[in-house]
Amino acid sequence: MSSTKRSKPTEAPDLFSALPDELLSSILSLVPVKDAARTSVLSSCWRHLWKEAPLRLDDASIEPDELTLVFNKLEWSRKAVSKIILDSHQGPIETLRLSRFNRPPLHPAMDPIVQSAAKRGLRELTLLADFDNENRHRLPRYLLCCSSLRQLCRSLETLHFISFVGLHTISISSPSLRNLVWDTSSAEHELIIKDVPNLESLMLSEFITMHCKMKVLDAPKLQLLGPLCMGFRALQLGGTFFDRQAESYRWQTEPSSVSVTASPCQMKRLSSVKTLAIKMNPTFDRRKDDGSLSGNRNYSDLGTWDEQVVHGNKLTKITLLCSKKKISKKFVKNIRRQICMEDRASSELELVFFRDAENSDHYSLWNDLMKFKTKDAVMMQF
Amino acid sequence: MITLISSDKRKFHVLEEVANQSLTIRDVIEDRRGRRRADRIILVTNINSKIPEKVIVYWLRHFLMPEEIAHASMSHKKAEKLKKWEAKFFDTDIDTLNDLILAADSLDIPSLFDGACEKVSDILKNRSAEEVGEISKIENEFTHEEEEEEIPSENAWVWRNEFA
Repeated sequence: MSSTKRSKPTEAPDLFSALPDELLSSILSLVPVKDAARTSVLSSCWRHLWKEAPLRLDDASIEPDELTLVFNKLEWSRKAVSKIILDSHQGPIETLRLSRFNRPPLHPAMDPIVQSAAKRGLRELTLLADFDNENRHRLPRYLLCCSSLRQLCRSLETLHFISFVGLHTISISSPSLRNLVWDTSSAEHELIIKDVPNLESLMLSEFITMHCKMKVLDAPKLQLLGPLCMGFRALQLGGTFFDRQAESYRWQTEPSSVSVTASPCQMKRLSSVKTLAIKMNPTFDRRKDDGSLSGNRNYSDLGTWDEQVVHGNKLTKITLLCSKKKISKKFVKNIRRQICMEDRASSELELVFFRDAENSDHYSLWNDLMKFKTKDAVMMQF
Repeated sequence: MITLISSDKRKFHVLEEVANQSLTIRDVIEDRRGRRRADRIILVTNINSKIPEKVIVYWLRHFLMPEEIAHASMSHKKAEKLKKWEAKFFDTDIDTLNDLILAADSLDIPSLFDGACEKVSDILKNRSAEEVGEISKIENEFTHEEEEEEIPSENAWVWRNEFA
């Protein structure tokens, strides 16, 4: 039988021969980099394949073999990461998670790594750092100087800050940034986010202290902001200011600490925010199941949203996070009534009740919230 | 209802909403909207008939997804169930997985593509090159020297825990 296929060696075709190289690359990018590098001895087709496959690197997964004695495992990991990114691997870098460069002072080897990754289409960067007040450190130049970020991280879409302590002022501006997670509970710091034309979601820590100032300027696409439960000292969103000192209106939902305040008319300027996540406070949850809120300060918290609805603002979804075990129909009905969902201008406003799972960490919760954003029509029915 | 025809001329009738999970098909349907019924037939020539069956099963299961995501936040049970179902779905021979990857690539079904790639990538995880070579029947034409010296020394950190 004559065959038009390319002549095969004597053996039967191997398992992967059906797949073209670019699909093999997709598979290789799912494999831990050490296993991927091992495939270079499989055959000449595989020899350089791993170097071109999109890289998803987590430095915590790069460890020396247990059989060999390596005195400084952290140092070993750092060297391996440098070797891979600066030397061996040539292809795009998709995600980078660095946790081994953290002890102060920040390891100098990190700079060239981040720089190189930024040039190679880095889309997601996670830095785990562990500073304290005595050991303040400048963050990697190429990442956090706003001008550098714009130049070097054109494709950066997701940025997570987790547990950075000892920061003063962080200014972020990026033409490509879409998701920003800020989970940093430094004693006193200022976060300025400006010129972020593509920022869609800004997720904030639940534990930001009262000394934090935050400014968000020029974020026309911002759609998901939350969970808003922390005691900011000052918050500026576009032309809207929320200042704790002003007594005009209670805006926050957290009653125990002094909250961010704002007047309803200021809220209207937040025209592009479509989804707001509000964390219900525990006392709110503990209230009777009939959800009666009248006479309670929390009522006025929700009152701001009332104004939103009245004025037909673009706000289309409010997500209420609550740790309540059971969400009864009556409870939902009462809340809906209180924010006047039934008979106001924004009849399209969705109210989503989101049960805050007790055991889940708050990142997984945020991930779920992001899913809500993408599925426009998710509405819980009770 | 749209009709998919595989390379061996078998026909598959699928609801448009279901087939929309393939971005390629969705685009084709969008392009042909408002035309006659005959235009709702789509040839998927690069795929044999066993695969559309699998793909459609996958579509049908995932067609219920939007609702399931909503509930997953309320209870993780259904998400778990779906995970189990997917594990079972992808627990198949490597040829089928390869075909699924090709199909998911050409039909542009990201979740199916990722799932199948993930499963295939398990072959490469935590295995030495010899083991992978044996399992996958990849013919190794390297000389002894290349295999034992040249390539390992390029990436000494992998094999020798050191840095050349």
